[in-house]
Amino acid sequence: MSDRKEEFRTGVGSLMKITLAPWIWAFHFVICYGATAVWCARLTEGGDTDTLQIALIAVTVVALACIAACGIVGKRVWTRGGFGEDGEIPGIDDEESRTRFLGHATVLLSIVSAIGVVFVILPVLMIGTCR
Amino acid sequence: MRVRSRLPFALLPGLPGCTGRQSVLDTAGTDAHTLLTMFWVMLAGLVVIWVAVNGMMLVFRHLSPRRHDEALARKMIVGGGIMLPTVVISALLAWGLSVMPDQRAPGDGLRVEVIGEQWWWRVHYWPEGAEAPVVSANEGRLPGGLRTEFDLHSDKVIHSFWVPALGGKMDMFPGRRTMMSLHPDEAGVFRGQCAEFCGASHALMAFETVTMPPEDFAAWLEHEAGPAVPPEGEVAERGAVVFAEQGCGACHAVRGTAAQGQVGPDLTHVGSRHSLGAGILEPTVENFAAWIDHTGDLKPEVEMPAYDDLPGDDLTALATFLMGLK
Repeated sequence: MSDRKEEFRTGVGSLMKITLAPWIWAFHFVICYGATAVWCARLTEGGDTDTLQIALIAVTVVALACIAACGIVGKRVWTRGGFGEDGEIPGIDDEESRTRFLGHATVLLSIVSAIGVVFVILPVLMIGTCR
Repeated sequence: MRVRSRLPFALLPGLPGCTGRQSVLDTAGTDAHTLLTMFWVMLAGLVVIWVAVNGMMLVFRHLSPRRHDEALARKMIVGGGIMLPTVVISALLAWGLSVMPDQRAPGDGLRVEVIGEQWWWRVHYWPEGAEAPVVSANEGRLPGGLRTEFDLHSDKVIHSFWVPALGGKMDMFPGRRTMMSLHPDEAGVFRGQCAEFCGASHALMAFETVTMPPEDFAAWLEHEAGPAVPPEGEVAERGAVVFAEQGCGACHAVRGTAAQGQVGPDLTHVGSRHSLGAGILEPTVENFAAWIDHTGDLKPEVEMPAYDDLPGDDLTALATFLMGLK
């Protein structure tokens, strides 16, 4: 029983994990906006953005991969121990359910962060000019 | 019942707002056509979503208020509440972003520099290869069928340059340049308006935009670049004297005369403009006189002082002189 408790332990570590994906989104946002500003203001003549686009697509792929990893880890925590027969998650108001909740929140935040990252990169891809 | 029968009439005054020379729904330029298409598509989508959401509410709350299958409910929440908005917003974002570069596409040669002042517009025309601009004010002239670049900035506060019939708006910042371009495809006179609150007379900071065939525009620009025409007739000549005596030239320039002030709008060809006082009055002798006589009443907090101590004859003469500056 004590092992099981340990397995579904909640704490600061789990809480921090759910913020990882939004942090990646935030860093991706800062990198994209910062790089675009510096590129357009200092590094390019005539508004050409090809190099910038390739670099930021690479950054985006890495960010999405990291967010996907967060989501997979969250999914494992969420579904650990399996679901009940009706697809409902068993347990309420105990350690296990709290841990599962954090896993669930991690998955949802990963989805939101992934959408956010795509929305941030879209202008870079669609506009394709510094003008 | 009486209220219902009157409702259509109460809405009538709003209808003229849909057409006319300052309407996004009555377009005369490529960029405005695009924005209008987006508006209609989004409005149609909005109506569909509104009907669907309210329809479902009606069905599930009133027509069929039994307990529904939970799996179906979950599918509807995930599909209609998460998937659908994500897809729709992504598609709109991608479409909107794909249109944005067109609104700032390079021009076909002419560049118009517009500087926002409180509460009027300095307008400098830079034809291709020009070393000095053709200076004008409070009116924009554009060649039809060609794309014209706008180089926008501001003197003291943030303004926004907007000709709804021709395209989107763009903010004008002190110490920073913003750029947009317009491609009118119809000859006409369209009203522009400052679209960013900029002080007491923000609402009175407007301008007329005249779109004309390229050859007419070229002729107009050549004339606009020239000096003012000399006053014709006794009254106008007297007006020129009043203009000089009152020191109008300290603030206003009339090229070809001693008046070289740069504080206020250039008046070299003020009589040929479609409006007076930055889009607020019809250009007539009476209105010129009224404007000079009580500027602050017509445009609150305007920097130009009211010359209300001028004798009536002098005022009329001055107005006649200005009206003659074609």
